[in-house]
Amino acid sequence: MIWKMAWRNVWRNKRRTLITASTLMIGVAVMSAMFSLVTGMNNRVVRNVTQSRIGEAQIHHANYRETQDEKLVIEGTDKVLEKARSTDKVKTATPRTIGLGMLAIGDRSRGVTLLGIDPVNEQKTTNWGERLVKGEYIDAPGQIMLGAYQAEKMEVEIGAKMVLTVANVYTGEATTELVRVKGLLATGDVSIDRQSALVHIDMAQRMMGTSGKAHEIAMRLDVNSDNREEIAAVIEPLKGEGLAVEPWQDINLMIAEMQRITATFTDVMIFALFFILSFGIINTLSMSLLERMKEFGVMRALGTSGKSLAGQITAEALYIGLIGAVPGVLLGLLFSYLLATYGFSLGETTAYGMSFSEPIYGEVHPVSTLRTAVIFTLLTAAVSLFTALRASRLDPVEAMRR
Amino acid sequence: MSSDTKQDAVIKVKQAERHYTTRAGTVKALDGVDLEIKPGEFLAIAGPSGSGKSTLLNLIGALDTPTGGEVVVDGQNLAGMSDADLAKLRRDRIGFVFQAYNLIPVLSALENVEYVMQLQGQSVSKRREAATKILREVGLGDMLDRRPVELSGGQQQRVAVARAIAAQPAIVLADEPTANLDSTTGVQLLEMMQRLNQEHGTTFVFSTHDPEVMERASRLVRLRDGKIESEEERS
Repeated sequence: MIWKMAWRNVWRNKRRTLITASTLMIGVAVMSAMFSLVTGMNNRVVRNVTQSRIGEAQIHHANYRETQDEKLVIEGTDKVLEKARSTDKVKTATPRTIGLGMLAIGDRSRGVTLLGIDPVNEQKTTNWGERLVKGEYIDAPGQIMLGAYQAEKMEVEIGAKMVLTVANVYTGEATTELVRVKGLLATGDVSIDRQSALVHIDMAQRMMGTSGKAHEIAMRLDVNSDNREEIAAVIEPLKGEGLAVEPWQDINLMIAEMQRITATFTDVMIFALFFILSFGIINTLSMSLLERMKEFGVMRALGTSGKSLAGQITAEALYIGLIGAVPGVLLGLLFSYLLATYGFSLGETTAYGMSFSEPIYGEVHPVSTLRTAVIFTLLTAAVSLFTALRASRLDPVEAMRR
Repeated sequence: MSSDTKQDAVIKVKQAERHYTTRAGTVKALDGVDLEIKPGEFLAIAGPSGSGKSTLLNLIGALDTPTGGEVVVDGQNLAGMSDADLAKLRRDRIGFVFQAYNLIPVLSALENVEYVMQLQGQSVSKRREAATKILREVGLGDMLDRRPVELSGGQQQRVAVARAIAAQPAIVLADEPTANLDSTTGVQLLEMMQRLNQEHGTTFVFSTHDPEVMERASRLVRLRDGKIESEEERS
């Protein structure tokens, strides 16, 4: 009978119940939309990281990342590559040679990060091929790909001939070669678009004096990119003396940290939003208690225990929570669907070394939406305990005098 | 149980005091009241406002505990009983009829009558049968599903009486039950309660100003200034 009475009591003041439930509904829906966007943004960032430069994991000389010393190449690059490619769940592996260089055309020059790539395997590994805004992918030495931003700064177009100067890592002697601009990129990765010059790996190694030896091997794996442990398990067999084999989360610490902070932030947001809403809920329940003080006194007089009375108030709160949360879930899923379909534009924004000029698309995330709804409903019941406790301690004689 | 409690007294009040401390000083709402109520009595407690009628009824009804003396209800001394035990005593042994009816507004007449039996843990079928029977007895057999707002004052008070006696308590306490009713309805209600008293043997104790109630009482106790002024057997 507690549940029956609670349900009927909830509808005694329809307007008040609906207003309170509406705040919960909007809370669930807004949180759901926020989850949708945050998840979409997170996945976009992870995709940017894994599909662009880093992949799911990389191999370097054990001290390379720490020192950035160009002499620290991967000894036996071919063997390491072969082993990587034959490892279970490794989809692709591509070598890179990395150095510093100078690009010049006419009286204009610019320092660049030289990225020597294996065009065939690189296209299997990264999405740069899809990010060509002009021209074509390089396929031989003597060609270069630049970020569109960089090309604009240097005022070069497809087909322009430029002078590339790179120092030999062992002798320090400068080597100069002519390169022709073959493609312009807009990857969304600032380090590529604004700083890098991509040439054939053979040319880069020849100029740097590191023939056959790469600085970096990037891998794409058949795993959930978010799951560091899963990635670590796949690359474990590749670990060897003098090598650093790491998941992307250990390489791009900023993004990994951002993901962790974002997850915490959304949880904090749920509780912060509910904290604000809880004032309305407590007010509704307290008003209801004050209005029905005499009725509660009578119930106590008839022999209703304090616990039963508290239980009834908590049941009323649970119903109000559900009345708000159920449509909140539906509205939240609708918001998520709209965000997933039409996206949300931040304008021209760059954050964490990535461009967000394109709209961010949300993701429909029913589990997160349901989780928010359940948390809101349970928290509604939890805050009702204040009022329930007051009701359970009512003195029947005092209450009936009201 | 107090050693001198007579087995045939359903209520025994001995030198009961109920004093309240206020800023203005101590108020003696009840001041040394002795009263025994036997099973099956139809007893009225009368007196002017502030004489202590409601306070005495609250003590007998285990809604309050005395600050002095003792109150024994159905063999249980209220002194030292916990809130939970007092609630259990009220639920199982005492029926209440209030001046303002005080039905639970979200429950139908039938559900209101079932309420106390439900608290006692009686099965749905048993309590439904008992509630239906008693509502028919009080003449509301065709209004079982009506909510309090759909009933007149007299009908609501009849439901309240049905609720009070449905669980077969040892005693029914009625706080000015006819005060909000017109005289015709009041008389009908009293006749109904008299009949229930005679047929079921239920003890009724009223606090009242109503001469009609005093007229029908088997015993009339008059209070003044927290003390019993007079007692009168009326058969």
